Amino acid sequence: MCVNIAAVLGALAVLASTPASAAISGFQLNSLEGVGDMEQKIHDRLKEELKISYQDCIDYIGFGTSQHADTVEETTVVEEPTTVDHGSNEELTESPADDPWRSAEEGKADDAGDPDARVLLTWSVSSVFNGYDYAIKIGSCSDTGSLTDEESAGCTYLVSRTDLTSFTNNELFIDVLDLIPDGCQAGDSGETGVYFFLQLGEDTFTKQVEVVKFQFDFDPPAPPENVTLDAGEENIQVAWDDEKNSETVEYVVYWYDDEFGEGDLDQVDSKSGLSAKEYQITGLELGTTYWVAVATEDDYGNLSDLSEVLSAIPVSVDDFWEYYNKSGGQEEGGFCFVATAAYGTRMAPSVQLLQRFRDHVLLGNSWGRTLTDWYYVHGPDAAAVIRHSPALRFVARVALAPAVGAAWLVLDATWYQRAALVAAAVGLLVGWRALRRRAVRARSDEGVDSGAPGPFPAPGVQVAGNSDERRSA
Amino acid sequence: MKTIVRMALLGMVLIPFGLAAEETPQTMAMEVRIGSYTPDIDSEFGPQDEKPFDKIFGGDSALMLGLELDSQVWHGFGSAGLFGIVSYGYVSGKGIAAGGTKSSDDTTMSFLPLTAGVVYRFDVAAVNLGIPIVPVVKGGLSYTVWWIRDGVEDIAGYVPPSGTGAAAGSSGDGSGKSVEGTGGTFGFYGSVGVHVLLDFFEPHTAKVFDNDLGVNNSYLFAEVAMQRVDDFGSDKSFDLSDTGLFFGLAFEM
Repeated sequence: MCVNIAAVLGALAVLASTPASAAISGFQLNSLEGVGDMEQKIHDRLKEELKISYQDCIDYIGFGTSQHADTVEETTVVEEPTTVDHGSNEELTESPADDPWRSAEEGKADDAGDPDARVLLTWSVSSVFNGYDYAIKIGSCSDTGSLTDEESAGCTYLVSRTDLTSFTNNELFIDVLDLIPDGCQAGDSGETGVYFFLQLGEDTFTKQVEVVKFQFDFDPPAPPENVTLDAGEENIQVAWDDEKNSETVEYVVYWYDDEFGEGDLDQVDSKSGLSAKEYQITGLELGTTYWVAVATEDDYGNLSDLSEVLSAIPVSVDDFWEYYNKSGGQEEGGFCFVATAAYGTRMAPSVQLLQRFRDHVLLGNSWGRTLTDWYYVHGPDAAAVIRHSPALRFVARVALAPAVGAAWLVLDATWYQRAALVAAAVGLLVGWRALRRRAVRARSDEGVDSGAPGPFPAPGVQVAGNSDERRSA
Repeated sequence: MKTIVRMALLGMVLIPFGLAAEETPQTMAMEVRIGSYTPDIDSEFGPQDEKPFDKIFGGDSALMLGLELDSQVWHGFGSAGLFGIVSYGYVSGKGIAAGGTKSSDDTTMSFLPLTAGVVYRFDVAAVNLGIPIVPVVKGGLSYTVWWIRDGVEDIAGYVPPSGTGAAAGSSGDGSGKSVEGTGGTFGFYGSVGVHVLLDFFEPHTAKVFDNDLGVNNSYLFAEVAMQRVDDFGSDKSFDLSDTGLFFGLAFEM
């Protein structure tokens, strides 16, 4: 018991002498851009998520574009980390490697030759830190350290202790090799921190620390397994299993009308960002052989090796409509016209007038096109009914008469015909209103309330009456 | 039986005093419906012929979801009004590859029946006697919009063999143009159903429902719907006729 008390007291003493670090109030990471050789080259993954994939690493360090050729298991893993020469200005002289999943030692060799691969990080803090000092470290540092700690192998200064004179858009250049201290070592993963220390004078209790962490993952996911292809009409259905990847992954399906391998992926068709373990490739040609493979992509953008490359040939398949027709079904589907059915022939003047109205008026604006589309969907069915019945054809002609009249008015009527029609319409309206006024006056004279309800009592009244009857019962 | 009689008697007591006395005006009804639908497309083929619908869809039924709106224009000995129903459902199967084997390609046929007509609700017993059963009959016209999709979910198309055309018993005019698998079919609609008045079982909730939302009565219903949808007997149309059972909830408002 005494030992435990002593331990607690000892711990409290340590805590008292080592003030806890607080996050920097108002700290903002404003932007991250590539500069020098990294200009226009930095991936969104790094800019937005502070993540680096293996391929990003290859690009940043300067191996150049590369293709997967070997599995991770075939790469050489260096046990001891190597110190990186951050200040070298040698030019990159080695040519791009055929195999990107190369050893860390190879990576180091090229690292030294690309000193101008840097990112520019801009940051801001609140102006309340006026008078503070700051220092910035990078690596695997401790956020409980001070602004004047000695550098270590895994933690170096980007900015030594300096007066903080600017509070917004402070610029910090970071060598890519500092972000990826062990080079592009396949299978490696981890994070590199950039530590911002602020402190007022020598008062360690005012120290505040902000850590921006860059994560890297050079461990590719496992490729999909048990890939199956089902050839359909102008399509191939691809399905696969993935039991090995426990992390969140997406899939990329590749296909081409010739056999391909890992080195041809930039030339073949593909679909990425698939979360389901199946995909239907469409738009294929019947009778053509297509090769298909699938790869897995983790959320760092690391691509697995390809699955087995399989082939399939799209075949002719009858959907229900085709099968029904080939079986002798009589349904016609398709389109015909109500007006043609009503007037008996497409050459009837009224039909031709309506067609001109469609072409010159309706199809000239969006609502007219919508109306025409609707008619083309539903017109054939109405026509099918009308065509065989003289009575229905007569009814249809009567119903179409206003449309024919409107089409004539718009397309063929002269100005005086239009004026005469407008005058007739106005006359009818005025006459109808006069007749209505006379009827209302007559009812008023007879003592009839013009606001009386119609022949049916209001439903609410009926219900209330029933309720009363029930209550009295 | 005794239980039913007791419940009916209880309803006669509860409904007049607890529910209906202060009902809000009632002018319309709404029904949410679900049921099965199996069109009789194969009926146009002879007994020895291949049945395409059965071959591809295996005799599956479409699960139809529907919404009905009624306008109750007359309240007297029961109530009468106009109704309109919009439903949707589809059947799915596999296409047929060479040799008559099933392919991996899906093919679907979708149905969108639009129905309108008159409805009569015999609610006299429910209103006057407290018996929570309301027989309902409906009759009207139906127009079923249908469309068929192929293995890549496009609207299916069929190109009749050249030189055959309609004379060969197939669709199209032999012009080599693809005939799309979409259209609509007219027909008649009729149904008989039984609506069970839920207010009878929860009069207090029903009263709150009415006061807060204006829902006068709530029903659970079962309905036998008879559809004769074949463009009034046309030989050139799908026979989309069926007799099916529908269930749902109905609200009078």
